[in-house]
Amino acid sequence: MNIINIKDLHKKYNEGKDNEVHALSGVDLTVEKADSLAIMGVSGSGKSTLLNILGCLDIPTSGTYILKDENISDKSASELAKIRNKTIGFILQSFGLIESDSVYTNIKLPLLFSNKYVGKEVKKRVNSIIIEVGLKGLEKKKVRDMSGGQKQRVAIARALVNDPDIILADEPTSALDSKTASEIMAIFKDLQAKGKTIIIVTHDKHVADQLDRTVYIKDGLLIDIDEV
Amino acid sequence: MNRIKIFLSNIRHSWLFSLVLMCEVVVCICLFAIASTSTTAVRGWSDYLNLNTASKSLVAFDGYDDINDTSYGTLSKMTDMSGLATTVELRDVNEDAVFSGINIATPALADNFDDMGFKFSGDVSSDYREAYATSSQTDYEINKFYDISATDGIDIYSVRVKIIGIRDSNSKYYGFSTFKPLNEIVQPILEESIHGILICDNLPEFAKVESGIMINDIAPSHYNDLGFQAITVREYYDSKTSDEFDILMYLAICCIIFAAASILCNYVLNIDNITKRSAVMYVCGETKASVVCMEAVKMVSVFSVGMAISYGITHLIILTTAFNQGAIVTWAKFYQSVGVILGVYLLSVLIGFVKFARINPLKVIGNENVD
Repeated sequence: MNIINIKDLHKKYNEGKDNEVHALSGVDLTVEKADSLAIMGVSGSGKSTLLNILGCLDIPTSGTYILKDENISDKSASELAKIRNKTIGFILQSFGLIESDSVYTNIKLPLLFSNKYVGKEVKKRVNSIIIEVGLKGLEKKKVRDMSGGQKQRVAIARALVNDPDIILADEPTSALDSKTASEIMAIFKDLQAKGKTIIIVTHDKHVADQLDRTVYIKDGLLIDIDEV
Repeated sequence: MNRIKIFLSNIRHSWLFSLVLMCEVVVCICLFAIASTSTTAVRGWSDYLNLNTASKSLVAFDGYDDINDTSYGTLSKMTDMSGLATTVELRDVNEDAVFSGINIATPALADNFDDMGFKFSGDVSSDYREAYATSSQTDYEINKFYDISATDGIDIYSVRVKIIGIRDSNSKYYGFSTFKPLNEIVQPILEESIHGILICDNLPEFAKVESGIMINDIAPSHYNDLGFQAITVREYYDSKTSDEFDILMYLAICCIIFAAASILCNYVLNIDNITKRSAVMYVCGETKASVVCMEAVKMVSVFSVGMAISYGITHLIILTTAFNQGAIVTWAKFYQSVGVILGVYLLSVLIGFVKFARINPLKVIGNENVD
């Protein structure tokens, strides 16, 4: 069952101007539920643009993007915001955390934008996620006082707290040492085993090799699809 | 409910900004208070000018060019002192050698400066006892002469004085004792009269004269040549007025620059963090319009909290100063200050806010963490 279905997707920046950039030039992509996918490519190839569109952070210029049987291209800004909140969990390259806040506050943030968990359920949910990513006992610790590996765990916990179907990660291990990177990848495998769809943008072939599929993007086109 | 939580989470990093704004309002109020005081002083000088004394010489006799003896007798030998308008204090001494001060006004003062508070009343009750020279223990009558004992600090003299009037009770008048030109920061001091008696005849020769206005038409250069320091009242007024307004202008500019710089720095330094925080919220499920709106509400709230605190402080200051009968801080000054700071605040945060509102969250989230 396809959770993501993209056809002839185009994305242009500064359309119609002298400095127009054609970041995506007719991308076709399908991703099945509980699949794991690596998106690889050199800098400027369009992989971050694709990730942003997959994550409903940005909208395509043309083409169709079907996410869980819903056409994303037609959605309003507030509808896209709800989809980001409920369906997608983001893990950013440099964590994207609020450093002056505690682990608990950072993880709780997405729950403030939804009604999925209310009252005491919020605390219960956040605490269960904290245990799941191995941060028990660090709930009150400020993020600024944590190591890179711990921060990435906080970022993963925040991505998971609203129980999304898809986890999008942008270079999640690039700022980590190899041991910590292996631990983070193990978490991703575990999440996939629990039915989450994992999509990771990476430069690291070693990371890509641990996922089910790898797609290469060059000059805005998917030029090769390698099914493992 | 969640909106409130998000808002509170957002604003709790900005409470210090409210305190900065509060401090700036208080500084601004103080500046207005200083300005108000100085303006009063300037108005005092203009009173002198209104008396057609603008071209007259303001002379300081005391403390210049090694002239140690500034007694009236010595000065009279050096120049014409008949036009001197001033007051001197004699040390009255009674039979028990108890001293007290008596203010004596010169005839020139009595004749020319009644509009300045030297108003004399002829209605004195029969049992009136002069409150200032308590040792005299005498009923004074207007236009009569009395002999009082006075001392120059060494010898005791009998001085014949003529009572020209009683100073109005609780009236205000300008003191001359601090009225010196140029090198001292001096302003006409408004003093409360306390049933002081003005006694006027020729000054005793041993009376020390510090300064005064010469109401004759002798030019200041004459007194300067003699080793005193003199200037026309007009020149003195202009210099003091100019000084005061220079200082005020300087203070005002400093205050506004300080306010603008602190607000601008605070906001500009924080704008990256604000933007990143908002970008994180965008990723987690908020729309860009909402985060911009939330930031705008936050800015209004930060300002409102700062103003609310300064309102409370102003209220306390006004209560305190009203109790002390020295209310130089008023609600008018508070509202003026709020207006000034609001203007500076809007101008300052507008730059940062426009930058924030135009930012693309996607360009922010990938780069750095949020402080």
